[in-house]
Amino acid sequence: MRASRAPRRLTIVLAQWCPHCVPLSVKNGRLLAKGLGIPLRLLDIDRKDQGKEADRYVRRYGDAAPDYLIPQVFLEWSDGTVEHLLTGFSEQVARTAAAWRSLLSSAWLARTRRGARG
Amino acid sequence: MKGGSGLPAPLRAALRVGEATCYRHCDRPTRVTEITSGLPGLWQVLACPSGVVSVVSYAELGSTNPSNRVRGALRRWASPVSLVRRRDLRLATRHGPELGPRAERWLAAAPPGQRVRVVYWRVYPSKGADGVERRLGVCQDRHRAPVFFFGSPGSVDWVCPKCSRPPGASRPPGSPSPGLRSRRQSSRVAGTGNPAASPLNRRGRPQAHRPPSGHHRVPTPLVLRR
Repeated sequence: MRASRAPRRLTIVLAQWCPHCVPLSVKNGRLLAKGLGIPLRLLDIDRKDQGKEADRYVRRYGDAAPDYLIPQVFLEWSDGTVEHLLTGFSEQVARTAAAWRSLLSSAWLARTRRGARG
Repeated sequence: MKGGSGLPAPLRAALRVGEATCYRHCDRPTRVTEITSGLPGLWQVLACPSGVVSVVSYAELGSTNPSNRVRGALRRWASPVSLVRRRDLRLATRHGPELGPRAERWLAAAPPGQRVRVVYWRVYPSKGADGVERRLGVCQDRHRAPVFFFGSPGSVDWVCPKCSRPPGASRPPGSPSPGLRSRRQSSRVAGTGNPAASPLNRRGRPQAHRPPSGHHRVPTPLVLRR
């Protein structure tokens, strides 16, 4: 069941020009991935080789809209499931930064890390 | 309420907008106004003292995407209704871990399938054939409900279509209209017009940094921007 699955990869859908994405979410994504002991994948919506996969991820697992918000952060699990973790806050970059801080100090992360170690 | 169950206090607190500055119009702090409507969730309008809207958000706990209901409500408040376009509505799901310990605990105990969804309505400034830049404005102190319109701030057309007065000329302090509750007028002036301090633009893109073209799909704007 759930206890047997483990985090496999963290994916962030982003764009280089987005201040919510770079450097904020890349930096925090690295911290999160490191804490979970998994690789980080960046999908840039402006790159031909990554844009389609980014759109697919957002449509299938994230917050889809005709003109969707970025960044969007996803955690892939060993059982094949993909969990949407975070979407940038449209109000202000500082609000997205606060969301990252909360996520990195959350009970969910502590539990997930314990599970990953166990 | 169909599809949503409002927003309990811990989530409401976690989703209240903190201090923000006007989005690419001026550096003044935005006033955050909560709107009441037929929908059970939390409406917030961020607008500068001139009435230029940075963003409108609606947050709700429920099992369905509230975008269509949000669009319906906005169309009742917009003049003309064609101001409210689907592509200007953007969805964000908010999870417990990103909202702080109190909200995380609350959401961990929430019934399965219940999610916090926020719909943002951001209308980007655009230039018409006359070359004049127009923005989304709101007149909200003189009416029972906000009146959203599109115009050029500071010009003669920057007036509310309902009361024909500039939106910034508000009522005297202490006399708020029913249905509208101004929660905060920040006294701190923050932001310098630096794109890094600006909110997400189209797909999070700050206009000043927007490359001339992109290969990915970007909806055609109603009128040319920039």
